[in-house]
Amino acid sequence: MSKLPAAFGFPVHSEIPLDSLPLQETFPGSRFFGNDENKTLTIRLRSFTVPDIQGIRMGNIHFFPLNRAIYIQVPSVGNFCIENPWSILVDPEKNPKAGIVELFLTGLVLPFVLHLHPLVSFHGSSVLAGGGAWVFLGFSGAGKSTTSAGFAARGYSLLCDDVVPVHTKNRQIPYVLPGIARSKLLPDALKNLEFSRNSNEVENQKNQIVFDGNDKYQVVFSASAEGADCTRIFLLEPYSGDSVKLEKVTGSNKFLFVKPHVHLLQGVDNPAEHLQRFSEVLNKTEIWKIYRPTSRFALSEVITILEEDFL
Amino acid sequence: MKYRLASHISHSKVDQELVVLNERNGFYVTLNETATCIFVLATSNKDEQAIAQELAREFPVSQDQALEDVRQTLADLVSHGILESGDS
Repeated sequence: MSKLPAAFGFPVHSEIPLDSLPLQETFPGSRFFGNDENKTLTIRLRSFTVPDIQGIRMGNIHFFPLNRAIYIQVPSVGNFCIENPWSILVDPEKNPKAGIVELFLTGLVLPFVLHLHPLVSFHGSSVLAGGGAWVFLGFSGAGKSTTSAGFAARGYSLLCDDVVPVHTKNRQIPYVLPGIARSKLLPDALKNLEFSRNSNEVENQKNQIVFDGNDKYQVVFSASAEGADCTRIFLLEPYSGDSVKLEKVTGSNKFLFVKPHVHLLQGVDNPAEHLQRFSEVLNKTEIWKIYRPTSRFALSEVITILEEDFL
Repeated sequence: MKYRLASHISHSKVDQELVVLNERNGFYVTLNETATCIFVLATSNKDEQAIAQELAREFPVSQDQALEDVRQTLADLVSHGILESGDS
């Protein structure tokens, strides 16, 4: 089977070049939701009119659902219409900045598509460890990307960064679909990661480190085409103590602590159905808090403790 | 007095504790194990006395204390719009 660009386990056929997507041979997303491994997500360039509807604003981005489709307007970039889970139309502005349409397609529009599938989508990162997927969640600056990049630097496969789609339907154990495996790291984290590594993974990937032009470096690691059962969720919690500590989360605290890291798209996701899927993930997954000291770069210690305790 | 679940409420158990969603305002409420037990019995058409009896069997608490706790919890659930009095 030939390799195709993939996002979240779906093969992508795009009229706009999407060079940042990894080339894959297997497509778990299509297998689960299209009942066919070859079912393709198609992206086409088309001119279309956006209905004049008061929608929802996210910064300067405007979106709204209409008749099962989702319209997204991004000033100076263009308009996007997700017609259905398998089709996206793109109507770019005239002469957009180089690469900007691709950036919004992969970073914004493709994650929107996930909301048209029965999934729970987390804001975090994920690696393959011990035959399962470990998901790292936390507030901004908690170290989600840095932790998963640290694992990747030790030779673990990165599954997702930024968006972690989890599939629950008819599954004994929730399944993490492969995302876009590109770590987004602040300059400090990248520097520390390079100095703290035990393997040559980061060194080898140096030609694949790209500054995003804003504040982060994007680092491409070896990625898995298949997802994995979601075995553990870790909540990263920076704190003023001296040592790395682990604490198991149980009961409704699982919901309270994890909920802030779940994407629920207003007007698109059905909140009641979403609650059922989300609860399924929580009931079937171990959840741990990792307290990490803010006084020093404790990545190596975090990884070692997780390896010792869970592998 | 008996109670019923308000029509705009969805709920789901996480471990042994309930998460309740008010679909009108998008707010979530989490219930501890005791409140979950009271919620489940109340929505199974049991009245306050029957719920208190069940609670006194399940937890180390006297019948009187159980009845007081049940009334308080049910009042809270009604004030949050989760349950409605069966009389209304």
